[in-house]
Amino acid sequence: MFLIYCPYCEEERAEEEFHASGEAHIVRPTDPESLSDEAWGDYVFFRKNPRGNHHELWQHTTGCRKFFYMTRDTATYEIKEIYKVGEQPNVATAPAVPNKYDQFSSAQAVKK
Amino acid sequence: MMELNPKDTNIQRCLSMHHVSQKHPAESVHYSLQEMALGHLMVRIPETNTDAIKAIKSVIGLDLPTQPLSSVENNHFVINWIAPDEFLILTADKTEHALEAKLREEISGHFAIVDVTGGQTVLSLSGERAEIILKKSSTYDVHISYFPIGKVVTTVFAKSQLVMRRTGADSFQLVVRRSFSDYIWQWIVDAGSRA
Amino acid sequence: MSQPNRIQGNNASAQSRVDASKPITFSFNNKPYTGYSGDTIASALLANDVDVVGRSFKYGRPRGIIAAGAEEPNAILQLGKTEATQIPNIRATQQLIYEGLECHSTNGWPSTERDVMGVVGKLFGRFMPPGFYYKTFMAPSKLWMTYEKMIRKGAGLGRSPKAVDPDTYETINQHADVLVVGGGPAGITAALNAARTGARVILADEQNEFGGNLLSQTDLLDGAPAQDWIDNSIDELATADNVTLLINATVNGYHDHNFLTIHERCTDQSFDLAPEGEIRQRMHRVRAKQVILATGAHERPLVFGNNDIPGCMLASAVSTYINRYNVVPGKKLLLMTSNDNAYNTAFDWHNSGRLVRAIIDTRPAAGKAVVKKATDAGIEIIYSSAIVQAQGNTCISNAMVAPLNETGEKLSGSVKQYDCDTIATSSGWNPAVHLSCHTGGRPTWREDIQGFVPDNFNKNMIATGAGNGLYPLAEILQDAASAGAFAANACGFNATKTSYAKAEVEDVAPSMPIFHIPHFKPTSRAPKQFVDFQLDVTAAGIELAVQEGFESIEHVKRYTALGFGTDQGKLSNINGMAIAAKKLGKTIPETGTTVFRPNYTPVTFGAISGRNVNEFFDIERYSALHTWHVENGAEFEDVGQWKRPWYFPKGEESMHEAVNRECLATRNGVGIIDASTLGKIDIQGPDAREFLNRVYTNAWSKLPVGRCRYGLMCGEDGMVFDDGVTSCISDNHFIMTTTSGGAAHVFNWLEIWHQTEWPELEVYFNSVTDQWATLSISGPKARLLLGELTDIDLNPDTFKFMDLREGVVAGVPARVFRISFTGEQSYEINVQANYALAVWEKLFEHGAKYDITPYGTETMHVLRAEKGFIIVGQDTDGSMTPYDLDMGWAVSPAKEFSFLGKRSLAREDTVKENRKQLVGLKTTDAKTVAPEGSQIVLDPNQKIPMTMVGHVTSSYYSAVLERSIAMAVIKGGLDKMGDKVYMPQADGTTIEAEICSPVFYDPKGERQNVK
Repeated sequence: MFLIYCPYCEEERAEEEFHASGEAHIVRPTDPESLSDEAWGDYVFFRKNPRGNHHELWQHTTGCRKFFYMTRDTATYEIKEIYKVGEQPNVATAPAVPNKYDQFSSAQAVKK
Repeated sequence: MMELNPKDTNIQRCLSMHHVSQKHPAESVHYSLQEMALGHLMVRIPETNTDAIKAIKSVIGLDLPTQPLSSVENNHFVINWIAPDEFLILTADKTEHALEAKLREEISGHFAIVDVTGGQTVLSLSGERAEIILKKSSTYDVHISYFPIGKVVTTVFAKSQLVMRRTGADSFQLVVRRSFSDYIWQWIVDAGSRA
Repeated sequence: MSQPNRIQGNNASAQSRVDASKPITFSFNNKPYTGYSGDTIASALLANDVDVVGRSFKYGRPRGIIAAGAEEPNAILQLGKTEATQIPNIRATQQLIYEGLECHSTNGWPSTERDVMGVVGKLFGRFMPPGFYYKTFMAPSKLWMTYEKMIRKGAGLGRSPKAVDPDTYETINQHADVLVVGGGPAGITAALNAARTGARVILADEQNEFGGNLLSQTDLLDGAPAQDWIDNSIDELATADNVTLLINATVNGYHDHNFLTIHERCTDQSFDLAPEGEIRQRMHRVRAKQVILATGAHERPLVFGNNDIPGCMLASAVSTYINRYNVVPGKKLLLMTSNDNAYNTAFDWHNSGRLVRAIIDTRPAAGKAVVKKATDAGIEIIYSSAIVQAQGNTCISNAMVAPLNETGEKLSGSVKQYDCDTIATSSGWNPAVHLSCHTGGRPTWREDIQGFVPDNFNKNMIATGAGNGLYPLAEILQDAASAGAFAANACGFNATKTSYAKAEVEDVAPSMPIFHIPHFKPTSRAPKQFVDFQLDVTAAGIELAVQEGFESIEHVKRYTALGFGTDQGKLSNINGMAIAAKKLGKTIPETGTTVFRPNYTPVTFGAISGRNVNEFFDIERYSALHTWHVENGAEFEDVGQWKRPWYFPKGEESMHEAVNRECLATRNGVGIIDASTLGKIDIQGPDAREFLNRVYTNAWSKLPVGRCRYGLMCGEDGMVFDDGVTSCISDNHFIMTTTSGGAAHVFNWLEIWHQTEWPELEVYFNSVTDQWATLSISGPKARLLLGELTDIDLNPDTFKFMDLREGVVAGVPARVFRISFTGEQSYEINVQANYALAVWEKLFEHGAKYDITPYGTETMHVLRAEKGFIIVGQDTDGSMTPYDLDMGWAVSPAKEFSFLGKRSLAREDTVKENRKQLVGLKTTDAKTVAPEGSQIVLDPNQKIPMTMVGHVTSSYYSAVLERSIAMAVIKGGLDKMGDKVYMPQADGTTIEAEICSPVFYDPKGERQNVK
């Protein structure tokens, strides 16, 4: 149960007050009729699914009902930043640092 | 905008909790739970509409609460901050239409007002068990250090949600949507039946 | 003699927590026993010299009590006096006895004493290595289910109750600045230091009282018995406003962002069934700014031959039974240890008046302090040696001891036999790191303590005390005090100093890293050396797994079932890893560790559901007319969270009869339905029309004030997901209706587009679903009825179909919409919900002469189906475009803005031939009603698997047409009018039908426009 900062209510709330709505910053093409089926299909159907920092759209559904953005590390669940609609993120969607909790290499790195 | 209350005062009115409060009376020495008959107006104003903010002040006599999660009140009105552009105004029973009319006269620019008096209700919850009832129902931190008098939050409550405001050391007002009323009332009575 | 192992007279423990003046009778395996108030089942059984408490899972070997806490693997019992109060798999070491308690061993078929699997295990045990199920019960494969039943019966843990849980449970949310997990010396000290700053502190301990390890050992604090310090500290904390103390409360899950669950057992320690009005268990859902883990450590046993014979115990557990429960588990103790600390067990045993046969130390030397004490007590110490094998059947008769080389890997001399009936061992301590791993942390190996400690990846978590690998008491107290102060300061409080009790500092010799005692035979041939007692995993089994190629500890664990039991491997994980590591030729940290997941100990489902049961299982939403519906005999249907009247049976009517009557009454007279549950969204703003144009498929720019229009809403994929009528109240003011179940989704849909894509549009949305009650009257007499009650001019030429009017109905201000979902002349009367009942009752009063008939959702479904009106979510499934539904008339391609979904309507896949299209179906046998969902084929005689071309979406018997009607989606259906189709049924029959228009009744739509 995450604790999520709502940038409008200006305080942290339990995750159950929110709803995740997928990838952020999906901009609707201004001229859909000019797009090929493939390009339009990319917009409608395809979303990024990175391991690491991801910009996500969230809504404070049982609170102020406003939408906002969250940059979150999908591997460690760490919330890197929260920003309002209209603002830009500071943290880039970079690939994650090699995951030290990788379940297929559970051994500890031994200092030689 | 229509006045929604009938002229004939003999016509029976059933507030949201009318039936459930009779079926499941809240009879306890540890807390009291009562429905309050008030007028409810949902007012939407963009943060940029400063004229509207002035207009409200002239009609209601209160500054719109711009601090998130805060409320302001005087003898006649309460204004609750719900979202940056959303305010719930509570007024005396059956005065909501007159208030709406006045506000529409004064406010200009982009705004919206919706009478939601029939769609929600205010429950007054108070007593020694009031706070623990809230703790059994919501993940919000209701300790007075974090939830002081005048603070108002919309949050999860049992499996539903509501707006709650602290009005005193042991007292709260809960704004509940009509269709969830039976569930919420019964839940509170159940939660209050145990320490 | 009752309780032969209870210590009497001068030798009784001065710090016993058991009250001999309060005897309690309980039964175990149907035999009565006496214990005392404060006893656990385990301590009471040991007091009564009960050796065998169960049989092991796989080999059926007799087992006794090993430990004194949560880590107990053997004494797993079934508890409960009645069917409804059955609880499986409680640990006898954590359950207090109460008067009349009944418990049984969970395994042992036909009984614990005589166990079939025990015999099998004895005879065939060597043929049952890990993985033997995969290697033996292979053929014939169809007999596996039989084998499985027998295997389950022979082995197995407890059973679930077969009756409904009669208890009440609760959940409560808590917030704290500092949550301290564990109420031993570290936890209490940390809590005191944090609480004194004014921080909000919660201190929770799984046991029935605070004190932790201090209750088991004989340490002095500030020069006095530790219990004094415990009592004073708890007094201070109990009277502080800012502190919450929880006992019998296990912190069992550590979730993201310092959210933890605490499972409080309120009455389990005292009653079989909670007293009337009392909660049995409570789940605390805690959000803490800082968490201090003071969870302590579990002692590790040493692994040697036959180390599972009843009487083999953890050294610290023996001390616990002696000091805390005033019970000595046997008469003659042989102690084996790799460290100084376990010597205390020998001293405790000696002080109880019983004989210590010897202390077997695997090391060449021990610390001066303990050596002196042993010498003073006349206890023999044998260095550089180990117990290689225990002997005995249902109890220990003697042990074989041999010298060890200095690494502990080989025996360096011959074996000597020692009499004893109890073997206590200690291989050191494992910090209880479980909670720190729940959110993905991996503990860190500390070579100096030969154990794992919590990783510090969570910045808001501090581990202290033995739970962090700190063992000397004086150091624990100092560290915990700092932790408490530090945590409080991290929350913004101001601790300027720390305070803690003083404990003696002792000179302690280093421990020896040893886990597995070598045998004079190779491991695979030696008598079984158990690592995981609960799942019968042996050292040989682990070595075999590695030999068979399982190199990752995760694989070894799964292959051998190491750590799989209800104890989550508390005693076995580290020993198992050490053995695997050795076989792999790696170090322990190189081998890795395993992951721990919530919950630390098992949790009842009741505690998780809390009060969300029975009438609170889910929300029930009611309209303003609900009580009237109930009083008038409605049967209800769930529509989302709403309870909607389904039909109103009169007398003994069946549903079928009721629906037929309601349909005919509406088509011939006047029917009335409560349509309040439909979603209603108030839309205001100068850009309202533009916004509607963008979200609906049709055009809204020119909708005049006072007019309504039906709209279809599509996703960006072009598929219909909601529909409804939207009305123009004034130029910038609309009210949109949605389906009852889709209201919240549509509302969020509007918001997401407005907030994230078109914030420049000036428009606001507010839900008014509950504000307006909708009373809908329908039928040839509807206008007559309404005319008696309203001032609105109902002349149908002026108040046209799809108009709306404001006025007064039954004395109440109302909006009346001339909209129809039935195909009859209809009026939807909207009033403020508080007055709905008054208006509804007036309609009935005046409607009596017209035989006004209330109807519900079933009739509503039939009436609309007779007219071919779709219900989104019934006739659509997210894969139908407006054209698939033959509703191209609702699409305005000429709109300037490319409305949501428009581009997708031109996608190759969306315009292709043979898409499923909505049509009507008339069964050949008019009385046959095709089941909804029936699959449709074109050729009823084709071979299986048949080519399915669609399915039936809605199907009813139509009273007015006296035949069945159905709607279906069929590939290319719109071009197949008149074709016959077939619907094979599960019972082997086939229903034949003809494709037709879905408008079965009044195809010209004249009835809704009647003058």
